[in-house]
Amino acid sequence: MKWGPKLAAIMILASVSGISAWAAKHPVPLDPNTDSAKCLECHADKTKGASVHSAMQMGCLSCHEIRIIKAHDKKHEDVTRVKLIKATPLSLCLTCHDGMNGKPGSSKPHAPVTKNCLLCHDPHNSPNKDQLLKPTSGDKDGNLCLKCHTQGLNVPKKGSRHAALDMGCDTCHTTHKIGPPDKRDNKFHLTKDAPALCLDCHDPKDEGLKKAHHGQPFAQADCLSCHDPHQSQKPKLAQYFQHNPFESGSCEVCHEAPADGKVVLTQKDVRSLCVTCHDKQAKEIETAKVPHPGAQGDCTVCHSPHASAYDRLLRPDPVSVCENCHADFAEMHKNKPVLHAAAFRDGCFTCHDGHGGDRTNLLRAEGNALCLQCHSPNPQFKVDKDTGVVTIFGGAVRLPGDYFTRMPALDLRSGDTMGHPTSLHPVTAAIDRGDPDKKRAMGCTSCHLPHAGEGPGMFVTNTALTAPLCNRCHTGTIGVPTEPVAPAKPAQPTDKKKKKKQQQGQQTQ
Amino acid sequence: MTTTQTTSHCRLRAVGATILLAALVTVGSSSFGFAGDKKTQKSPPPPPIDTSKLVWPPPPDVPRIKWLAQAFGEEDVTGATTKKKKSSWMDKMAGVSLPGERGKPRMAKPYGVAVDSKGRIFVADPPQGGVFVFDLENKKVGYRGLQQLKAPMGLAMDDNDRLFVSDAEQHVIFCFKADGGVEGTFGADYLIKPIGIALDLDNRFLYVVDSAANRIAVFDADTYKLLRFFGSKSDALMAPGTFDRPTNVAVDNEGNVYITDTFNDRVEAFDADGQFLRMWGKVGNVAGTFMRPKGIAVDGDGHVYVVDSEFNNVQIFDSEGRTLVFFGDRGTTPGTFTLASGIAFDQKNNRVVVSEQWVGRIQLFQYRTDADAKPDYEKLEEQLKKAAAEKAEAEKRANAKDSAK
Repeated sequence: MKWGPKLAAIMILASVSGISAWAAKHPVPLDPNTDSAKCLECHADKTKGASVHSAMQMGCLSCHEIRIIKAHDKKHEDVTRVKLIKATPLSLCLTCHDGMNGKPGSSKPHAPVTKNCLLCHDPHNSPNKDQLLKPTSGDKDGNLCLKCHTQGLNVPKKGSRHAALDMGCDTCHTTHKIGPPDKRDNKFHLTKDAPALCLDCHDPKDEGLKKAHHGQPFAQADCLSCHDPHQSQKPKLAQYFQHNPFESGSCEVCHEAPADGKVVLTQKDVRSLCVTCHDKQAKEIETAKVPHPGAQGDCTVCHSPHASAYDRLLRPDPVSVCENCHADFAEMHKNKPVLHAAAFRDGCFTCHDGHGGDRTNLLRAEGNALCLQCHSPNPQFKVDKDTGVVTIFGGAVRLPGDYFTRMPALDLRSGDTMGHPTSLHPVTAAIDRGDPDKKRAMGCTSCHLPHAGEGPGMFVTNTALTAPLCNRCHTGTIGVPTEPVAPAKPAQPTDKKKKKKQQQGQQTQ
Repeated sequence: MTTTQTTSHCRLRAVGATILLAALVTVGSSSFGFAGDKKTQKSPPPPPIDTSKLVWPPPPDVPRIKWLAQAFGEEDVTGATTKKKKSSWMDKMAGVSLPGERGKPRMAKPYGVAVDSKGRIFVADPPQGGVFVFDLENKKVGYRGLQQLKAPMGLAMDDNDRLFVSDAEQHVIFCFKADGGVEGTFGADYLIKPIGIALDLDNRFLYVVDSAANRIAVFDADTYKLLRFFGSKSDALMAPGTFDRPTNVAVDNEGNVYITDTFNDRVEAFDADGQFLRMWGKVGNVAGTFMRPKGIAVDGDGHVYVVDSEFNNVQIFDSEGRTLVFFGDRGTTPGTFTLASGIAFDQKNNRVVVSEQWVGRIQLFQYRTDADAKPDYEKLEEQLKKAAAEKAEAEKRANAKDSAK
């Protein structure tokens, strides 16, 4: 490694980069109340372009502050500095564009809006609409949105891509739209919700479109239940997971010709139609020792009959499908700071059997075995060679291929009976001393909540602290209150000089 | 069974015999002096360290940090060779060595470091109540505030070469003019124990870490007015935005503030409005964790350097807190630290300056920027691709041979 020439290069680079670091100094001396016309003598280019910030008419000093620091002696010159009137660009923009970064009770704003407006906008002028740094259409280098988003970029050869992507992202999205969070157009910042948005371009009276939907009244349906709006691995933007008759185009298995613009099924109701093929599942539901009342009715409440972005054709997604009835878990999902990924990311069916089962709470396994299916030092899972999908519980649950690469495994020993949280701590086959009756055996749920908690570890004590948890069994050994500690108030600075003076004054008196 | 027992006995006997022999030889050599002279018996002096090999990350990776120089005091910078001052035997008994053992002033327990636009290095020395100014280019050494300062801790350099110094004993901030005179003092009404300070050059903010009050005070760097406080004392939950004896602060190019929350063993980041952004680090003994994080600095590429005075190393993170590389270890040789504490980044020369409290020295490291190291990374990638291709070909050949057999 020859460092001589490299060092010289570094020195040159450093001297160049050094200039930008000291950019806060203004090269020309200015008066603190300089007129905008004087600024524009040099910065005339800031007012040119297709879109110019309307605040420019209010004068440069509406956003910038000129500060002059007088020199202490004749050797040095006065320093002129130009800075923003607020500390961050975001706080400056929000003085006029109030509420852009979200309102309480509204849907989440587009992420950069809460960080820095200058990630997308030029504060002065730009050749693009709304002073955007780049247009919102074009290829990967030309499109501003594709700086972060990847929709429509890596489409597989057999897949499909929505042609509207080439018309620009703002065809369907208005980036700053927020509102009530239960509405989809607010959540995804859409100009309108589907299907109204889709029908703007795709005319439902078009013969080709009618034929493609086999004459069924598709205009009333939610397009996004079967189609992905951006791209798909399957043709015609169809969602990845598809019902067998839907994929093969044999609609007549379930549907008859529509009457009065309404769907007509081949059987009198949905359930009897599904049972014609899925009699195994119907038997499971009927003969289960612990039945699931939600599974007794219409199958299409939980499963999409056509296509879905999720395995088992669940709709709208593997978590909300249960939260629609189990409202207490929807509440938990919103409010708790730490969530169990298996429950609120992968779906309730990872641990519970949706059709009914032999155990209480429809659990897929008893006691610690349920948790150790994933968290054991040697988790038992199978990998499908063709699809790369991981299966657990004897194939009942399908998970992504990399699921176990980031699984926090426990350091258990002696047949998974001890070793967590310390090397000799039992995890089963001991009396749970925290149990008031002292009759229950110890298990994972003696310390951990299964769904969500207040801190990492999701402790049953509903605090992030470990001491109250340990105190439940090891009483008196740890001198920490079991109640969560209230945050202390910030210490007020004491003025030592004043105190001393006061003391001295008292002494003299 | 019997055979194994006998063999183990034999081995034991053999080992015993060798130990006896060795003992005899050593006794003989020491008492009768027939085995070699005294020079060979002394432990050989440690081999001189090849400082050109002090680079991080080590090869074959692309080196980004290189050790440059170290200085203990005036003599290392001016290079003047003065005769060693004769110290009396009483001094030797009392262990007095600082300052001036070698004839010129040395640093006692340097803490805060700063670099000005000319590349001069400023080092705060709390026990001696002054600031050392090392001008490496002109080989000159100067001092600041020898009359005014009692315990200077943190240093911050303005782009106009004004020097801000926090004094933990007088709980005030001093501002020195470029020529060395005092421009003003401020903050006595608001500060209990100011330690680390840093300047936001664009916003003209001076951030002061008040270690005893567990909060950050923000002053206007030109008018010395207090603008606001942020942060509060943390409880056992260690909530974001709270501190337990924070020590140092650094500001990046975007105006974001990074604070070492020393007793919570983490780094917290805030924006220029004082809004909490993110935090990283916890107690631990692997890269990315801390034991006593103290000095903190940000380089031109936005990397965050955190000095850990227990690990005695400098860990480098990206602005999101992902660990990139660390350098340094416990020791007194070049490239190692003992009680490493302060750090500063020289924007002009792309150099890193680290101070150590115990050894009483500063060490200089050269940083290679992202842009400068890019061609090397491309070369390395090509080499790795070539090696992978060669390996695959060799495997193919081996497979073909096996199938032919």
